[in-house]
Amino acid sequence: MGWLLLRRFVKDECAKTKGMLSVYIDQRLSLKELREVEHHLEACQRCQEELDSLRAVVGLLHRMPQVSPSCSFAIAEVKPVPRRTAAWALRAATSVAAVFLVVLFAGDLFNVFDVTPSLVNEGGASSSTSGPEKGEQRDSASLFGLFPPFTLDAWKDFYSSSEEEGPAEEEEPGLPSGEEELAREEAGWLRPLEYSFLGLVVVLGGVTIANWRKEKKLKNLG
Amino acid sequence: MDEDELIRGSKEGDLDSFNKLVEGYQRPLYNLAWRMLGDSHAAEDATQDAFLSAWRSIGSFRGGNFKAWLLRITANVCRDHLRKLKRRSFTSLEAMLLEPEGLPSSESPEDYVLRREIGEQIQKGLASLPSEQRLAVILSDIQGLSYEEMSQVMDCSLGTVRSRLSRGRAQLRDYLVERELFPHKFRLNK
Repeated sequence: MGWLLLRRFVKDECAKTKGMLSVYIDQRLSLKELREVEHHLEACQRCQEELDSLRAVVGLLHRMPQVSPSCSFAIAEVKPVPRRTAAWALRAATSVAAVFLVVLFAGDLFNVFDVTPSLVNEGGASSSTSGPEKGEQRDSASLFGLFPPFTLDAWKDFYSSSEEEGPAEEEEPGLPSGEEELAREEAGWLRPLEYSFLGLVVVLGGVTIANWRKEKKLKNLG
Repeated sequence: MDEDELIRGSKEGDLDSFNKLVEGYQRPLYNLAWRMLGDSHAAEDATQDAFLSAWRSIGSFRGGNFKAWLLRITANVCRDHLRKLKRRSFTSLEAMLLEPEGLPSSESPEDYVLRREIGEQIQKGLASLPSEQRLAVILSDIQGLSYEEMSQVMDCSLGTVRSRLSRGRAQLRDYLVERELFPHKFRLNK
């Protein structure tokens, strides 16, 4: 039993020493490790042989000749480095699309783009007390001049397709029945526009991220 | 012009400055690539790629050991090449026929042949190592880098450098022993 324990102890010591021999050759052991290794080497022939063999390998490697390249690697011309112009343009486009999307969503949220037509039908009755003159139509959706004016015909088309359409159709087809309902109506182009911008942002964002990761990978080479 | 000035010039887009750096470092970079890939053409491609990559990203060099920075780029390029080649067999010994510099004129033909044969076997032995162990052995024992420089090149801790180098040397020793090319007195009784 004692003999087995002693063998096991010696084996462990050998394994530990062998793991440090490479560093010992390079003289990078701490003082404590150095003493341990040298103490073990004095008593262990196998580890001493292991050390000699590793030293021989290192010696051979040190004598390996350096080969000279057969050509020069000087860069002959300045290749147009794709700097950042393309990447920046892509990022700018993504940012602009994202800003537009946010504006659209915010506008939608706060009903900025809701249609509040102050319509005066040709019959004469104005739905708004402070409405414009007869025959004139105004639409807040043409805000800032960014969007085409919401015409009366378009409004009629939109309103007639609305599920919320009530008995107003019977009264006067195409005309809203009251101000409150009108104030809640959403411009018909808003949803398609929002979805379009959302799609654009997703696509541009995906391409931008892919491009960014590629650039990062290239940069990490350095 | 010293190295710092050349690096500064390169950062400002002066290709001549960078090419002077290329001239100074192309040999160690090519040697690393050649030892890693075992093929002269692949090594040339890798070295050229490494310098191009270095030129493109010279702006990201924040000072320190420029040689280690270049070797790190080369090591990365070699890893990519190895991945692409799927560890193509290292049968090309063409490059070994290149005449090594500093061949002592006093060397006898027998010694020269023996050294060539051992050199070929060492190259094959290196090729048999896992790429990270191979890199550690090449950087330490052929390129002569310190542990700290190896740590920068390999992008790992000093402890990892030690263990990779230790395992690489031992495995290379075993390879040479198995092929009976190791000096008889160093053969271990396994």
